[in-house]
Amino acid sequence: MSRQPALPGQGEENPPAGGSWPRLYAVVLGTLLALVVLFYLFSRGFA
Amino acid sequence: MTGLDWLVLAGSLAFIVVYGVWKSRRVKTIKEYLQAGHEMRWLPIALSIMATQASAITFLSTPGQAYTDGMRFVQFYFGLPVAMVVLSITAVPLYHRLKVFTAYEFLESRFDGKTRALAALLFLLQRSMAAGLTIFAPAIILSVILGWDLNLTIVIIGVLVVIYTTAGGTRAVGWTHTHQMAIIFVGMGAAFVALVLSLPAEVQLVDALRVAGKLGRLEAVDFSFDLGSRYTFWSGLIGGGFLALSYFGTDQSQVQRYLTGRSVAQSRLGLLANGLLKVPMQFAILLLGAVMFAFYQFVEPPVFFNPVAVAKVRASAGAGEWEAATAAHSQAFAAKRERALGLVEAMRQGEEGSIEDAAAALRAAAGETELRRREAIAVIQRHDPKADPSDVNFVFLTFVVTFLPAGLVGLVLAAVFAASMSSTAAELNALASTTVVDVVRRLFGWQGSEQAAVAVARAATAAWGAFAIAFALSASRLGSLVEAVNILGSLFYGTILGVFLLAFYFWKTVTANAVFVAALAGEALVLACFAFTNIPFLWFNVLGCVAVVAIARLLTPLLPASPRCAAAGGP
Repeated sequence: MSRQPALPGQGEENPPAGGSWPRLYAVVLGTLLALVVLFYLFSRGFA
Repeated sequence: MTGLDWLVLAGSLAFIVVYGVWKSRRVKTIKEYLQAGHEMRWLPIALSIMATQASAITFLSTPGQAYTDGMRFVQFYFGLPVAMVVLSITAVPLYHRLKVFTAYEFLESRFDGKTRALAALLFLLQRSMAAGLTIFAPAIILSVILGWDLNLTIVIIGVLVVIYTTAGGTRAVGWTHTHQMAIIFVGMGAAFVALVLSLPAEVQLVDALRVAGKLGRLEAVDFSFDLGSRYTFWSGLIGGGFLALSYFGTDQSQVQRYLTGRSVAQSRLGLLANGLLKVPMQFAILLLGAVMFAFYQFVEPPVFFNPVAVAKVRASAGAGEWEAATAAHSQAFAAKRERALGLVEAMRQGEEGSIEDAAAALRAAAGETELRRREAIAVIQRHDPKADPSDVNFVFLTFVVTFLPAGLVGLVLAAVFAASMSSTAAELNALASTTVVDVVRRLFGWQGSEQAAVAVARAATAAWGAFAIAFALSASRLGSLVEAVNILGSLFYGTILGVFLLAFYFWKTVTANAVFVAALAGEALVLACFAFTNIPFLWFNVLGCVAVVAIARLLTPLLPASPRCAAAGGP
């Protein structure tokens, strides 16, 4: 499989929504944190 | 199964196969066959990633896991969103920039051909067996519950997958994944609704959840740092995170999914969407199992969910003993049911003291019922020492065929088949890619025309399909199937992740020879720990990875780079 040369700037494009990649990463990690807290409260609430 | 169930099941399967073949009818180049021509957008990529990971085992075994062990298994996935972010930052742009077909090509650009070959071979070894398990697991459960012939079920699932995967390659796999996930979501959603509607009239969903909670089935998060406990917040975040990094970053069956993206952004979004959806999806599947557990506090369950084992003991000299054990279990259950209804009533009254008293009485009755169940299982084992004492894999499907209405049974079975086919298709597709790119072309040096390359890739897909079917036909007892697959993965993922970690971040400070020896030593260490220690399997991912990185760093002064590697450097 021959490799084609990399295009300049490729990989640096902005996300189609959400403003910037760091902001999207924060949304994913923040959602995880929120889910852990929710699961914990869910467990406590029904225990 | 009714005629309507058969119609729904057969119609769904036929649609998937025909759609997969039709959608990929214009595949002519190896790039189209292995990378779907780089045309996929983020949503199909995300669904394809999810469909690849979520096999039939996920949907059959996970509710049973919650039924027997509660919801703590959800913690296994806590590291996944973190891994998605890390891979979006590191692996995705790098793989796109290098225009690689497989993840293992990247290793040669950093180290050398033998390191690439070793990683590719470890992948082929692990993933080919996993593909067999992916077919075997649902087949054995379907055959036991529905009385279908096991070997015939394995062959049907395997052949259906091989048809469209061989014909259409990655494009067929990607597009069928989208429809398979739709069938899975609808099927599992319908099962959940049917379960809630099947609860006794005097019990609401919130009552069922409270009963499950009082019996410890809703404990989803455990922050204790207990190495002896298989699933904790920490083992899930760290061990599960390493496993997810390795699986999504280095396993060709996943890398191939996001390499189909038309740009870095689309591939990244696909991974991040998976990071957002995976944990809630697993929670929902576990919740289904927990509610089913609550349901069976009010409706008497089978003493043992494996009907084949029960039929065997009934036909043996232990039949009388079994009937006595069953009667004792029924009596204990009747008492437990009264206690469960008492708890529901107490909770409605809202007096804390009464609730705690009722909960304590229910726990005692549940303990008594469990004791009777274990006595019954002991009867089975006395008269059939080879019988598996675990029935976790049969819990969900037993409920489906017993309580779901006509049509819905066929839909849930279609979801199970779809899940099995989606994972197997991705695995065969990845095995074929690695075989063609890393073995046939790189290791053997074969260079044929585009047409010949597609023909070889199709032949490799069919051959791996045949191997997976053969492996499934010879598979034996595996306990909880969802754990068996994850344990198998954890034996290899740590080592492969260690090699990739060195390739991503430390490639300037280690030599190729040191990495190669470290990979062999790390794998030996993991296998030794598996054979001779009781370390929970999730930690193997950390252990293998850390061992490879540390040993490579230590060996680098002793094993200098070969002249070719030293001169070649990396991208």
